[in-house]
Amino acid sequence: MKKLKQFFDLVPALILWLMLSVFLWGWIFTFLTDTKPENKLSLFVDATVTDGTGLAVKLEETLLDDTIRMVKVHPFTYAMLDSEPLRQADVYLVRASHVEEYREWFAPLPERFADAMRVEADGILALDGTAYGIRIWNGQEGTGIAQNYIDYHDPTLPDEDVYLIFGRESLHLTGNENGLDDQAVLLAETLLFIH
Amino acid sequence: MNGWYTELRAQQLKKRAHLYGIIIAAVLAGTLAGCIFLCTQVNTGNATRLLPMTIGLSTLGGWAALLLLVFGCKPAKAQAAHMTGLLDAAQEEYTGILTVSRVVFAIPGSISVQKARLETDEETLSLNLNARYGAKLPDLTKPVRIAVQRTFITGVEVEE
Repeated sequence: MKKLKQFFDLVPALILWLMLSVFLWGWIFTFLTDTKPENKLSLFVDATVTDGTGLAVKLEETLLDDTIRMVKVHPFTYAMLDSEPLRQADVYLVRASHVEEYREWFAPLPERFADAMRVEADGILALDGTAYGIRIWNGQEGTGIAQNYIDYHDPTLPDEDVYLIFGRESLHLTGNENGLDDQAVLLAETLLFIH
Repeated sequence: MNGWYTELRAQQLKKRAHLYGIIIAAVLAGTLAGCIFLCTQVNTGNATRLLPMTIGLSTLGGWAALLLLVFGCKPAKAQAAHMTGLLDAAQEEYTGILTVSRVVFAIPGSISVQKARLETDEETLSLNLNARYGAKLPDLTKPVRIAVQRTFITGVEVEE
């Protein structure tokens, strides 16, 4: 009986320890699973990401090298509290109806990428005469890339096209002001071949 | 009278407390080493699986250490300190009818005790009994001979 009472007296300390463990290791894992923007590629998706980890691992199989140590895949909602990671994304997958809303974050399509992809004219997203994105999901036909990882259907929105667009603040696009390399183009090319 | 409080018993309790200390340190070191090992294995694909594993390991290790501390190390240390403190005190012996309260209360930072009363032919003594020895008491319906050191009962024998 006395031991049982002693145990119940101990319960708050046990709960406190559990909470400390959750916060401490959660905090440590946040550091372990992230790195500086110059060492990672980030893809933000304006749709439901059903298996972001699986997609990131698939992309990492091709993209990891001495510079790039991580690929991060997030839905737009990930940046609800802080839009900075979203603004600095390397590649976006954006619904057609949301393009205008985020337009200032987008960079024109790199020529190298546009040439390599040989996309038909109706698959190009042009804004003021400049190509910004290529269609990666055809809303009417329901076909596109990475369907095993992304659910493009949103019951609250009509089915619409989704475009791949590069980020203006990306460090991995040499056409950008602070661009260091062209790894974002490699990310986009790799992404296009994932089903 | 052969009392419960002996130098040998005090040494055994000290050793037990020390052993618990070593076990607790080993559990904590093992837990930390395990968590660090899991952290070194983290990559994009397994992070969501390794995080709950690490939290679980850390939580269980911490809980085990806490339980060993509260139910093993601290009581042994308190018993050893209490016993060592009483060993040098003068021992007196009394004979009478002993009554022991069922209520157990803990002296903060020390042992748990039960209040006891001894009625001899001449006087009534108010005493304390180390709760650890409450279960070792003989039949108290008959007169008993007790050893007392600083108000603590340190031995009880049935009067022949």
